[in-house]
Amino acid sequence: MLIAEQEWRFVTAAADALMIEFAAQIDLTINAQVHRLVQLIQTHDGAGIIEVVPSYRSVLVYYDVLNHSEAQVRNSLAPWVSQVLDERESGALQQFQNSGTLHQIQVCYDAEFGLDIVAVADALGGTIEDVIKLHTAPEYHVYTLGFAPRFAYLGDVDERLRLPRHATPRQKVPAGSVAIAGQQTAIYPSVSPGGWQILGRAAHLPELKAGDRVRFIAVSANEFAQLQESQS
Amino acid sequence: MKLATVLEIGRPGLLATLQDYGRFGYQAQGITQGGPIDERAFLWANRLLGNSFNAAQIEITLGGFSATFTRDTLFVVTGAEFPLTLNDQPLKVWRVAQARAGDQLQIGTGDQGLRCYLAVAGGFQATPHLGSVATVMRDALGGLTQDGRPLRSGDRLNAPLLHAHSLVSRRPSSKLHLTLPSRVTLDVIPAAQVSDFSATARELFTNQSYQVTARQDRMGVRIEGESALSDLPGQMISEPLPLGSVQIPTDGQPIVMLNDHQTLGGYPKIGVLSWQARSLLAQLPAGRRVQFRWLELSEAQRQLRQALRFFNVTR
Repeated sequence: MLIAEQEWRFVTAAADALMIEFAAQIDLTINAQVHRLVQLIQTHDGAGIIEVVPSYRSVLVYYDVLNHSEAQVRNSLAPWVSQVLDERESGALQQFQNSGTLHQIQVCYDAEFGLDIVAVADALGGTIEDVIKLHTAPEYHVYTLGFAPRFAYLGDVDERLRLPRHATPRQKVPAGSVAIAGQQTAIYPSVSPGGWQILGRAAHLPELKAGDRVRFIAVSANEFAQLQESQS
Repeated sequence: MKLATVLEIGRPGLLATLQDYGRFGYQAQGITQGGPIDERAFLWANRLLGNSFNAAQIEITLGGFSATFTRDTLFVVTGAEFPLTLNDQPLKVWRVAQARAGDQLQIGTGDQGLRCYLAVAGGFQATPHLGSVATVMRDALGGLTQDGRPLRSGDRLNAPLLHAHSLVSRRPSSKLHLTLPSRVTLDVIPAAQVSDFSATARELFTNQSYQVTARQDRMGVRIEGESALSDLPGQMISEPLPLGSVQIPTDGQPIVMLNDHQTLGGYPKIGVLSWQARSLLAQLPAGRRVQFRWLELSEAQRQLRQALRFFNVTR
């Protein structure tokens, strides 16, 4: 079912789950539509929605299949999608987008933690300071969580800093590593394998929710050690 | 509720984990559901003991398990038909039995299935993590010590002390017994990106026979057909991944996502297994042949509703 010039559609996802898809792009406005829709669904009861899972451009909705048909769920969700698209036209979505919680996260970019920062600077033809400047400049947006518990995909990385993943992923990326891949950046919540380019280490990892905003603040190794101590 | 130790693990075998029905409501935070791979066998065990559908059990992969009961209790083993003895006396799988303090339970190995479930009256108790005791090793979540570690020798498990039950020989209706046919049909609901696959690919998917491979764990199982599906939909933006999804990565061979699957996936999905098909697949050893068959959403929902009602599952 395609409505409104393919701006969105419903897709059956499982016997008890329905996907709502917006346009297929990793884009801040499209992602804001996703999170606004999630907010609308969660603040209004209807059609036995059990769990809502947002991602880049889609929302997965699990429903109470004992008491609701897929058609009922579609009917109850469609008005919320329309409202989101209306809000985009009226500019209200922009306000919503800027209303997510802002987190400030201190990062130490020393090569001791930023395992790839020297190589990234070389790839850019710049200095480590250039990389830090580019990485700390934007206010990032939490597109979605996934891959591992509390792993948040943040964007958008400055175009000059967009680099591919390593051809061979590391077996063990240290917990707290701050890394980049393409237009995305992230903090590894725990030790795990990973192929992203590691720039530094976060002093702490707040509980990030999709739709939140993040700013990275560069700190020295000394400040980093103090921050870590004050938290333990 | 008064708790007391009921079981001490002797040998855990290849893998024994504590599982309840699963961890729900946290997928938006990237936290997967866990829970029993063979949901049907798990729910039967709880039903046979009069437990809540969500009561925790031990999922035992490939058998080779032993334990000692430390007090009297009713218990049952469901799922794979591994040889089962209590103090060296053979017992039947799927049948509630009485254990006395000191009794030795042995679960052997066999090729009739992959996983069995050991349940006791009242269910095993552990401190829940995010509302569940389901063990997810990869994410270090849940289990006896809330850190995702599997059960090991010497672990002692608690269960509520219940008023003495009389032993009623509850057993499932015979048609629900697990008997693995030599050739299994797995029902697939056309879903997700199914319409982005070519007609040729969709036909090949249900026309050829497939083989379960050894490349499987609690996250997923790779299934291999003689011919790979070709002209696949392109790589897509990652999206939430439901349990039982049949992903087709670039090699054209299916991967079915099981309970510990990652919450987001970027491979196109040709469909999602039905409730019954998931529990069938949960028991298929490597080399077993399977055939996929399309199942309409309405029929899949009818089957799912029937199961949820029968087992009193609520979320």
